Amino acid sequence: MAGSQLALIKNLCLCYCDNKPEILDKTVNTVSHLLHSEHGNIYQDDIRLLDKIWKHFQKYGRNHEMLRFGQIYARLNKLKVLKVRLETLQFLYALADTASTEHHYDSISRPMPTSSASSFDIPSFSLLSVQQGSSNTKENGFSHNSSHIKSSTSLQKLLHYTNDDENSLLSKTHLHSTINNNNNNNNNNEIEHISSLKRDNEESRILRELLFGMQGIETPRLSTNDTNIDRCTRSLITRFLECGWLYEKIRKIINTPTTSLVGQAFIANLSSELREYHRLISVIEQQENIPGMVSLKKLHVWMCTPIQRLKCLAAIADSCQGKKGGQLLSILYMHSQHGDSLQQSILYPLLYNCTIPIRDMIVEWICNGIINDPYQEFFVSTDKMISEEKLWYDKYTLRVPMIPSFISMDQAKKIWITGKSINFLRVVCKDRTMLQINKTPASSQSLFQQQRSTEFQDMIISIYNETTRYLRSILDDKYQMMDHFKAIKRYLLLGQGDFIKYLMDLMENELNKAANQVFYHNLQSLMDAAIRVTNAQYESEDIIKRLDLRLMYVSPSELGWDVCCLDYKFDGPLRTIFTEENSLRYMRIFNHLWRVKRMEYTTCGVWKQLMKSSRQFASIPEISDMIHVCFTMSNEMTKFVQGVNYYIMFEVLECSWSDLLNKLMEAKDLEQILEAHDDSLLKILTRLHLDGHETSQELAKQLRCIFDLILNFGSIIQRLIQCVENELQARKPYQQQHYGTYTKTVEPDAEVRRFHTILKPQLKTIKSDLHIVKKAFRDAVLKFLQQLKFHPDITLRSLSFRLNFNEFYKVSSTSKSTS
Amino acid sequence: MPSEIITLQLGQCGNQIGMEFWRQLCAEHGISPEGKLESFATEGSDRKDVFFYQADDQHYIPRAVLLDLEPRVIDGIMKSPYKHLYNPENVYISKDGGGAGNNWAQGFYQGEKLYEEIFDIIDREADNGDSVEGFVLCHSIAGGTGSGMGSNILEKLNDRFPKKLIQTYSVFPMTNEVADVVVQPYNSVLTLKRLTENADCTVVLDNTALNRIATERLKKTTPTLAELNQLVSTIMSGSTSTLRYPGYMNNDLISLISSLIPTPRLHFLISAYTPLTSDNTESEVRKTTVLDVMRRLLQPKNVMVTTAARDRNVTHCYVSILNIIQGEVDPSEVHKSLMRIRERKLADFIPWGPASIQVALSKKSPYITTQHRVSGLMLANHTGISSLFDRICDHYDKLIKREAFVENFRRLPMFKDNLDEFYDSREVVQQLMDEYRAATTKDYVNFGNLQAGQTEQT
Repeated sequence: MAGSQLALIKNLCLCYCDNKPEILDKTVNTVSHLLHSEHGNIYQDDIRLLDKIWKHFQKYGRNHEMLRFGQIYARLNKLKVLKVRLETLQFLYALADTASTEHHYDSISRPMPTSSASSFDIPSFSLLSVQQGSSNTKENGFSHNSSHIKSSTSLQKLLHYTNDDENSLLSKTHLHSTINNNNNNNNNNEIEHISSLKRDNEESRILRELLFGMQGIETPRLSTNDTNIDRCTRSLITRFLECGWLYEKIRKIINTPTTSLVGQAFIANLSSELREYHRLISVIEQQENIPGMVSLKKLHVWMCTPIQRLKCLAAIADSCQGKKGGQLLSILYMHSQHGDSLQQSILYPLLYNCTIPIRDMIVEWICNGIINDPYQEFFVSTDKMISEEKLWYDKYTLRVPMIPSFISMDQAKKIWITGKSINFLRVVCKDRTMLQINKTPASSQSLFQQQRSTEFQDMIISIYNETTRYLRSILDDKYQMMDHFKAIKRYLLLGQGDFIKYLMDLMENELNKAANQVFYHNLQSLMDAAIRVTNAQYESEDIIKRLDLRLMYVSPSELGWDVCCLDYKFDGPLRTIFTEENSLRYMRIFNHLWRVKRMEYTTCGVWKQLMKSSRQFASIPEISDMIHVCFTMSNEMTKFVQGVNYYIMFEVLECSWSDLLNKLMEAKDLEQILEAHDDSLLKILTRLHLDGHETSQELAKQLRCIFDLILNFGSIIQRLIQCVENELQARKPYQQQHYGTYTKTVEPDAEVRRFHTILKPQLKTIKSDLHIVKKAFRDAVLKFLQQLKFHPDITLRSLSFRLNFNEFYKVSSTSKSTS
Repeated sequence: MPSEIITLQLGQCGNQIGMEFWRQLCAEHGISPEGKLESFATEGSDRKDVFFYQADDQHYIPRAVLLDLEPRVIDGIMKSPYKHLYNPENVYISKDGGGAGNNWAQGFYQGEKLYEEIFDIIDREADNGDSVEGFVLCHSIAGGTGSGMGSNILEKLNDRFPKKLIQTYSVFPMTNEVADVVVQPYNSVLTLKRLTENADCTVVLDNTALNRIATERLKKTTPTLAELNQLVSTIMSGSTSTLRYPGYMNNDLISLISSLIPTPRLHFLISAYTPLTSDNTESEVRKTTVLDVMRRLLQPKNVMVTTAARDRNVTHCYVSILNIIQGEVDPSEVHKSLMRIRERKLADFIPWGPASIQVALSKKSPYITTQHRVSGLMLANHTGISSLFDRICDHYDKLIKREAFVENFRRLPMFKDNLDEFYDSREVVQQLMDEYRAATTKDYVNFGNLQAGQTEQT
């Protein structure tokens, strides 16, 4: 330092001290110390800094501004007005960096450190260096407002870390010690003088003791209750001993055995932090040997950041105790979401290293479907006992607490599904094709810094897409999934009308028997016959082979109609989509549709019998009113059944089918396919009031009651037709005699007698039965419509709209209430 | 294959529309005029067996019987590209070849005489199927063969096949101008009696309305016979489409008509079709949603029967409606359309029983391209049909009052002694009209009592 400069400083200090010479010396000493402390000036020349700035521009793709900056800087250089060029540049760079970090949500982005080194430095005198900077600027006639200075303070800390990779700790501490030595030499006179004044034997004793204490070693000779020591020193001692306590705490945690890969990484990281701490202590110890180099106060300043660091580490270590895997990561991540840049800087390497095992598990799982997780830390767990059939559903479960909080649920599910798909392909589809996924595993930090880089997300998505696309192609091409869906619609949901109609024709006699007298082999041969003659014969062989019958649970009161169901057999991967549970649902649906179809069949049959007998009826004019009632009733029932059927066709089957088709087209992974299928099945069940809802059960009961009445009506019509046929048969002789073609004479009286004794009573009972059925049917339909009105499902309510399109029932109910 | 349908084509008109019908079916199923399956017809979800059967060499033969008393039309068919389509054994022309001379009685008498031969063919055809569901009869009610012989066959069919359904596509004559056949009203009334008593379902094709539609919709000043027949074949193929393309519903004739026809006599159906285009005119392509189609079907101008909405203080209404929608349809549209139609009260329904617009979906043939996304056919039972019968009866009454042109009838056995058959037929038609009018009121439920009362009085 030039003498003129020293004189200038002295003058300045004199002004500062209001000409009080007793503190002048001290001030000058401090100021000169400050002025010569080069800490914080990481950049020895502006070329490296400029290089940084270029890179910064390039990183954000602002090439235009970069050029401009270059021009301005060149001009500034030429002018030579600015003496503190390096500092200004540094300041500007720091500003730019804050601007960009503020831009992002997460505040720190740093390249991965080569080691966790540098965490414990001889403390940075950042504040001091700024003061130096500001004094420099003052000298140069520049004025900065305080906010600038403040921001630069934190920035310099930042800068300090940014360059960690360049300056390894050793060289740095070395640098510092040399700097300090230099300082020492340079300021030999002043510093020596002051420190020799302050330091006595006592202090050096305390210092030595403290260095042990700070490593968690018992220091019985050092007591805070020691009255020989002044209060100020005592409080400092307490502070340093806290260090020791923290150190000990962390060490204990490190020494607890852990059964977790993430935990091991965590502990390894903690130990290396402690190692750094040790290194710091040893450096201080070294310094201690040089007299006047270390004082309690100096130590206090130096230890400021390391203490914070230790505190932070201890707190984290404490909260992480007993945790493993994703939970541990979640905690670390939670701590990292902190405004304090120190804490952020501590957690970054921690998170980085601890995420690696989980990252590796994820990559192994989504690329190969293998779970390499000896300590149950991964968020996908496997159950080896689960059979192939249930693989997709139960073998792999998502351990939600183990999902690190920086991985979203959506990502976790995608990861889960990707690995499941691979296993599904391997185990269930027996497909051993290795998918060629050219993807380098995402870096560890991209997992917990997703706002900053989409690398991780990209990796998941691309592997997910590739895998699920392949699985879908296997399902579609090799296993003809869509064909089976269509076959289900045609057979289990009665879409193949001609086959169903014919099947019913063939099975009618068989199914009218009691359920326990219906045998599978009889029905089976009938079904085969139906397949042979209807359009089902053009179906692919595979589908025909799968068609089967199933007889449901038999209770003594049931008829064949109630127990017989079409079934469709599945094997291999299809069993995962069409599970046993779904098969049972389909059977329930089929049973219902089959029942409604049977009603249609019955009403059509009744209609045809009535129509075809109408000429016979006409020859007995006495019954024309009854016949007319039969026709209007038949019409009412036909309309009801048709209405239900049209409702089923449109609102239930076709709507859900077109829905399902759309969803299946869009579905990417098997999970979505299953979901779509499940949705559609549930929708059908609800709309067919088979969902077990209370109102639905009542509706189903009521509908059954209506159906029973229709069957009842059918049998009455049979009786009526039989009766009319008998009568006409009996009349024949008389009529033929009447026309003179028959020889045997029949008394007209006998004819009248027969009419009164046989036909009339029969007709009377039929008539009263008809009347009962008619009334019961009306009431039942009205009740059914009433119930529909209150059903929670809006679609079911539309059934009542269909059934009562011309508002016939409402009209009749009001007229009844008025009469 | 169950539920086969045998088509009987009678007389000039019957054979002409039948011919068009087969042409249409062949096109829809991808069958060549020779009966061979076209190479492009690989989409196998259609049921060809309802209307065709396969010969030993796998070529398709229509389940059709062609009958006529004069050779002109059938000869024409036999010269057309479709000559090899039909089974030659099923083509029957009376050896006499003189025709029926537009005389119902002549046709009826001839039918009586040729009974054995005709029913040999029909029996054979019926035995050919696994379980024939019914017969479809194509004829006109105005001429001689279709009406007279048709009437005879209707009666016989009922006796011979008491369990089979009988559906007819009956062309009704023009009533708004001077008829080219003077005895047309006689023929019509006599045939109407058989249609009423012996058919299970009659689709009425009103020549007056067909001409009007052809003129208005197809923008033709004088539509040709072929164009009219094309309209008819469109209706016929449309109304059988659900039988030919199996789906959840309406896979057989009975399920199709049972809900349309409430009582035995009220079985005269009107039909409508939209959109109608002709082959040679480039028609404007309109928006065709389900609602549009359903709404247009209800418009009188699209209905193939000219009916009055009101007559003799009676407001006519629909007994039932069935819409068959073909093409790409979003199933959820149907419900919305029905709601809209009810809101706007676009259709009146009977007050004595439940009635609704039933909508059936049917596949469109993949081999025929149309400009329209959706097309629709309506089959409906409307009480207004009685006004058509009324007009026929008006003409009939004018003639019978003078006993004009009855000589030709008296020559034949049925009318040798008296004209009772005329009066009887007129009475049946009157009852039919009365029943249709009665069906517009709530009291129709008691119609049986009324009838019983009448018979007791007489």
